[in-house]
Amino acid sequence: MAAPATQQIKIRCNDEKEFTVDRDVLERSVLIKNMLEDVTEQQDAPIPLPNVSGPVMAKVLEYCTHHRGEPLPSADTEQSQDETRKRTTDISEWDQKFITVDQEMLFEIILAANYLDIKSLLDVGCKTVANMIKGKTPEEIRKLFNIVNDFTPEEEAQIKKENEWAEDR
Amino acid sequence: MPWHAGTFTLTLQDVERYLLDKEITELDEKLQILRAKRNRLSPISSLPPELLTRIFSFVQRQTYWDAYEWTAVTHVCQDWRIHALGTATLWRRIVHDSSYPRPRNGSQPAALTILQRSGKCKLDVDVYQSYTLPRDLTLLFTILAELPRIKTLRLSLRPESYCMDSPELQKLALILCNPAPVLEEFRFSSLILTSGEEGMHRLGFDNDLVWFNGVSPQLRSIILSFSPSDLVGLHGQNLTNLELRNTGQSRVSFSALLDLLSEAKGLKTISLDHAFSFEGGTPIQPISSRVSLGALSSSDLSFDLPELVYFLTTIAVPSTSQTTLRITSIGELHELLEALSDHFLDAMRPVSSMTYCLEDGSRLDLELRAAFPTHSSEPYISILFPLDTHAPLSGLNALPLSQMHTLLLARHDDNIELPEALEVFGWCRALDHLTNLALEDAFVDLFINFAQENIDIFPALETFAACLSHGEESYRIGVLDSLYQIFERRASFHKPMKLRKLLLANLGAYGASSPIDEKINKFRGLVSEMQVGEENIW
Repeated sequence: MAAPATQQIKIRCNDEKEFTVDRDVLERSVLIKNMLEDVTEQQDAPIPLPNVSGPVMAKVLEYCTHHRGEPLPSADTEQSQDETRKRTTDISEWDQKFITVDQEMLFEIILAANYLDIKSLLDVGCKTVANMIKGKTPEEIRKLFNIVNDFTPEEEAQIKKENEWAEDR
Repeated sequence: MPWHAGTFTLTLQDVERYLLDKEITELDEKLQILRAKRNRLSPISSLPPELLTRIFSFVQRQTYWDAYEWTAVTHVCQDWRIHALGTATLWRRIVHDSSYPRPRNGSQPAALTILQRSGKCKLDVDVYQSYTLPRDLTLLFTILAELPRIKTLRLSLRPESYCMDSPELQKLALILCNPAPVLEEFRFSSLILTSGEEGMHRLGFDNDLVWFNGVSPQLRSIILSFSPSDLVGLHGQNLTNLELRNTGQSRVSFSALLDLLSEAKGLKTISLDHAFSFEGGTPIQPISSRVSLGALSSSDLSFDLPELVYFLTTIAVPSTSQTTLRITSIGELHELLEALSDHFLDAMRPVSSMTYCLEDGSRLDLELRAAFPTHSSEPYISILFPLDTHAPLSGLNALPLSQMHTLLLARHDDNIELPEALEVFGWCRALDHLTNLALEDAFVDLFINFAQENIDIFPALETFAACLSHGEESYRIGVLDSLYQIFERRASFHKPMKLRKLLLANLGAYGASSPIDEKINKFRGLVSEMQVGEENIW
């Protein structure tokens, strides 16, 4: 007997790009999952996602397809994940490869994950940025993110004091 | 011409300098505004503040060993600094530790600044006293003044720095008597880093204190190493983890431990290492009246044998928990223990408990523990534990199964007594927890030997026979072969009819769909024939 056909859902991004995706893949997004649960009758009109562009959505869908079927974090697991987050900031090999993109795309993915409410993807993005920052001096961080020193002299003085913490015992 | 106003005189150059300075300042301000504006074009600036917080908190967690390394993010640009300094939760971890290579962790201004930036949020406090730290505990006292909002408190103090009645310790004791309404994890370690009797130091308060004035309702984890006081005041309603470590004389009394455990209905893990002061004695509670740790999933107990007996006869450890026992001293059974490597005492769990009345009227409580060490390919049946210390400590055995046959036979030749014989039946009772064991010969010999001594082996044999109905097929075939050998040597039994009845009952209950059906049927036929052919003789 053939397996029951998976329901296909259409979504439309802010650049009019449309995707037709299996419902279980899309339901990695808590936002879309709740939207679908609120709709009782089958709708043919695509779900509008005004905050996500087509290329970013394609990446997000790649992530969701890879992780389809994995349990979504519930309120309970959210708490335990919070505990886990304290201990580890590891990213799986596949996720690491997936998130190896240019900075602009990285932050777009983070914003999309936040908007679509995909906690695991949000964590992958934020951990990746944290890994980029870790162990670097302020000047190195500035260079990394194309930022310049914009502190006022008063702030500079305070920062200098804080740098003396290392010598002060 | 100079302009005079009061006692000041301004030259033209002064005015020009003033105007230039003003212009420089204005340009600096403009530059700063332009730089800030430029920074907002960076892709990372597209993230809203809450996501920046999330990233910063990940950086913080990744730099555990330098508690303040993450603060580099506050030195990058104005936006990041303003955001980080305004997010109190990022500053909730206060670390005070002066040991190399984390110099900033020992900085008093750093700790005080962090404390100030944490606003009113709950705090995680780690204080480690190192060699170089002065005895002055002023900073610690300042931090501990925030006890009402401390969620995690980890204190490690070097005991040799203090004499018992030092004013610092007295003040510390007083502070720790204040309520800690949000405290969830409390860890107190009085480090002992020196060895030998002369070098032994421990930290102890003059008088036992009432921890947190009895107000610590949120406590989920208590970890005390060389506790400087008894457990009075600590509450267990929400406790999920308890670790107590001691050597030498403990300040923890068994009664306070018992009070804490009585409340701790949700306790999941317990680790006790010579945890309480033990002055001997045998409480011996019936299992029904023991303090039950029903939610326990893992326990790690390290005791001298008398302490362990004392503990286990007062507190019921559920059979579902994974138990690791380390018995550090067992008195007269010392030699036996020496023959066993430590890992045989790992991963033990209670399988059953039994009570026997001995001929002299005394009672022998036995608890059987089976062990399934993950690091060994060979499972083993382990301790049959005499819990009644009035009875002779006759059997502390942790044996790999392959050695059991030899050892039991050797002990049998040494005129074993009833308690030892009972152990064998206990081991048999554990069989339904084990599979794939090549025990047939050992058990056949044992049953025959004990049957010849007129010892009632039928309860154990029945358990053994019941193993036919479950387990791996190879194991069931092994049991069947053993029973067949026992049957063949039935002349050794004083009650052969009882043996026949038992075998028929168990063979009859065996499922008809089994692949070893043929073997069963043949066996059943032989047993039935025994009834016909030998009935009159028996």
